[in-house]
Amino acid sequence: MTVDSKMLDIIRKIGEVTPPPVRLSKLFRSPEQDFISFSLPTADTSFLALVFDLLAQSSANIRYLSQHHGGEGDLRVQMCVDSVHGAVALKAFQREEVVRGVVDIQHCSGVVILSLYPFGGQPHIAQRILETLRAEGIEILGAGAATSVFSCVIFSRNVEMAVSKLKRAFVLP
Amino acid sequence: MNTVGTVVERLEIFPLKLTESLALVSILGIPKQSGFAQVLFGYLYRQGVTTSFLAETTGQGACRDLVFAVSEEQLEEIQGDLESLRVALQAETVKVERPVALVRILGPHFDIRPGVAGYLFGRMAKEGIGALASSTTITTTLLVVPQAQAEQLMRLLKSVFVVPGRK
Repeated sequence: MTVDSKMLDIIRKIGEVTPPPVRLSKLFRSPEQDFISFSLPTADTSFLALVFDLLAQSSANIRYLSQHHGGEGDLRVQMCVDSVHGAVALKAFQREEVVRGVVDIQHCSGVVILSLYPFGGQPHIAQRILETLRAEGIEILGAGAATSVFSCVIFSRNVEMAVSKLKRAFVLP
Repeated sequence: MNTVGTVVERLEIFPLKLTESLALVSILGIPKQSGFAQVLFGYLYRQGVTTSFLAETTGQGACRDLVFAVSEEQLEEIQGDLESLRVALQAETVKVERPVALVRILGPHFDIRPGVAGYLFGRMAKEGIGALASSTTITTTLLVVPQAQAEQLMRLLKSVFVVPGRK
């Protein structure tokens, strides 16, 4: 089977799927966060240790963290820290020894983490959350899942809309 | 936990959970405007695949990356479709790493204790344990490492935290 015909087959199968109603137990909204993302050109663990040491020394509360390897051996990191620690966390990234090794630093203030329970690794739950938010034009800065929770990072200006739409997309108490 | 300078307290956590024989699938460089969630998650749902790890992140430029872990058995079922999925998602690259192990660290109260994640990842980095991927949210941290490093990571975690049955 060629790539094209397999792709059509996949799309056809997706069209057949009608996910059932999904009952969730909780939707949790974090306090306001600062979102920081950066890359390391190489997966240099000692340099990453320096960055995290500096953040720990500033007592920055990392409430959301996601990291993975990019396509060219780089390490891509995203995190949320409580807004009250945002300024001190940013100072860590302005230190000379950090500036030398970190690239693509991006910072957004005024974000929140929305967390939905339970997740259980179910792809249709992730699909419904992401589609519900994107259908409203809500930008998702990052999303991550642990065993029982799916969290996504969005701007706080979109929270009321997001919560309202998620409550319609899922069965919530 | 006071992590200003050095850690003075080892936090109690719930039992660690180690899952081995997993595969980490990274789909990198997905255009932000693509409706990837329906294509990818719809496909996984149809195939009956559950993900033990999942992270969607901002990639480089106007792209996103999506990383997920499945059992090696489930990978066998979907591996033949990954290139087709890459094309459907307009992604730049699909990468598979295996075997990998997943360790779950469960709170309590990581979300209100400043410095825990920073201290943990700092210790891992100093030990030369490079997480292939990780996701920390609220009170849970998931770490994906090469399976060959799983035992080393478990030993480190038992020295960093107070694990039930070990003081």
